[in-house]
Amino acid sequence: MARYKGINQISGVDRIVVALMIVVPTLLMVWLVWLPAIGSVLLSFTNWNGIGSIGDAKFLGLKNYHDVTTIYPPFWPAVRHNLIWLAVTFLVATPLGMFLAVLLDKEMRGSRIYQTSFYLPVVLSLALVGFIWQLMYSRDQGLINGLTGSTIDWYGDPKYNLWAALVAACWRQTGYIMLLYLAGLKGVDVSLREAAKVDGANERTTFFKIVFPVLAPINIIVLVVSVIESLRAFDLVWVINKGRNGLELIATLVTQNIVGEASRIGFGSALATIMLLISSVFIAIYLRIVMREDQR
Amino acid sequence: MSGKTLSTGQVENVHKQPRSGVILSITAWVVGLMFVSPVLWMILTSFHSEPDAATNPPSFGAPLTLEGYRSFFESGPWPSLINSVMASVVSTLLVLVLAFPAAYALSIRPVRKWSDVLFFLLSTKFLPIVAGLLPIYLFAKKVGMLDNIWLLIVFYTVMNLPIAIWMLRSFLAEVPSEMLEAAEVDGAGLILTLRKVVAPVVMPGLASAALICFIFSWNELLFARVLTGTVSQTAPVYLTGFVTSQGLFLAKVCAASLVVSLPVLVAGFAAQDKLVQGLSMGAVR
Repeated sequence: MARYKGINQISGVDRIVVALMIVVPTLLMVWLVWLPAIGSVLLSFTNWNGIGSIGDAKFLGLKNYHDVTTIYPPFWPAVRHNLIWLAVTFLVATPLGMFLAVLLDKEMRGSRIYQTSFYLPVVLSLALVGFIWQLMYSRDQGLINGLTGSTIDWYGDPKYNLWAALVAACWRQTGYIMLLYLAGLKGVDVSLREAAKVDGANERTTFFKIVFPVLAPINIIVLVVSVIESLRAFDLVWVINKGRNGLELIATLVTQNIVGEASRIGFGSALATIMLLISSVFIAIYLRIVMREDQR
Repeated sequence: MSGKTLSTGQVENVHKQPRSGVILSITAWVVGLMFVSPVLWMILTSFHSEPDAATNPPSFGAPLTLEGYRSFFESGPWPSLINSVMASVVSTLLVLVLAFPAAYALSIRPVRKWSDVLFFLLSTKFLPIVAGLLPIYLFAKKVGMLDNIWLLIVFYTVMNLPIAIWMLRSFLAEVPSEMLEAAEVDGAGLILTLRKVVAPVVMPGLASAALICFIFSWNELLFARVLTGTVSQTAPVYLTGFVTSQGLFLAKVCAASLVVSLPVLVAGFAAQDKLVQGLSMGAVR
């Protein structure tokens, strides 16, 4: 066995071992994640229906994309719902989560239980979150209608269901955002805070001058996380009604087209590619920030 | 921006604890209680009998029973629960076996410049998985792996690798270099150093990465739905089917939901403090 020569120079055999340690997982990723994604992009230029041989598929150029944006009725509503999803989860869950994080950071009495209660929904699957809220929303058996006497079908009525789903989504996201800010607040320099107090700065000033700047990079991370989560908000909507009747999202359209009855593979792949394009922009922004933080 | 002003208020209250602080604490507790109420309601309903669960207005004080749990377990959930345990535990172990060496290799100096590799690995985590679903489905069909739990195991492993590598790397950064040098002086090889010197130090990191991978794989629904059938369906797939077919029997369905989410709740409590780090990768799924 080759000898390990410290962290500055390593021997030939160990160099190979080290390289393998990285190459193996990387190849797995390329093979099982990136190749399929590229496959989707390629399929999006064809008219393949998934049944015949793939060799019979015709190359259509950008026709699928043209069709998606012009003659596919659910597309623009889905884009709109995705945007609403993003705006609401960001604008509601972010201030709430930040507020809770600051509160918890002060270590108020019993904060442990308190933190747990907000953290609880974060570990639950989105599908389960959808179901838990079904118990609240159901028209005939739901807690909300039971207590208020209303007869609104919260999940069923297209006037309300997007908002009902958003309440459930925010419910989960708030705890998530809270954890992100909590991690950020740990980085606030305590001595700086003390110094500000000694200098007679009031608490408001202290917050905005000392605490908030530390949170600034987290704000961007939170924005990007909200974007990515809103693009992936699939499970929740899927368990409610498979993303129909007012709950169309881009992700549900993809699934309906490629694994649904329609089996319009090329068309569904075009939708998937559009999703890929949008999310990769935000992924790039996010990783830039995360990596920069990491190098400090 | 209400968040900011309110939190400023809270900052003031810490040192002058009195009245306003108490009011704020009470408000916070009420909000917290409201927050958990949907879960509490589900738990309560799961212990009610079906007629009590279905009343309108809701009956809070109805007698408790285990009837819902009994009928759930009689519906034959065991194969799917075992599949889920298998898929999440085996994939988590595989993730650790692959991620720990990779994280080590990425954190020692000779391959510092490979941070581009890390960048690549991480970006993978954020791809909307729907995007690659169809080619994966076709591939699985071609090689006859549909409805095979090992296919899910492989995908969950790949899905969780980036986050595990990322988490472990930050733990490895805390291994003092003197320890590595001491191991070198003693003539320990690379593998021996990893096993005897590095692994014990990063044990807490390994544990929390494992818990997070477990939570993600247990909760995964989309792949499980598309790639499994009757033989290898996982607990969440079984649960969604159960909710669809038995949806009117609320107590039963609540009991089912609780049983299926119990493992992640336990893992979640165990990983609570460490989860922050994994979450900042934006990856709870």
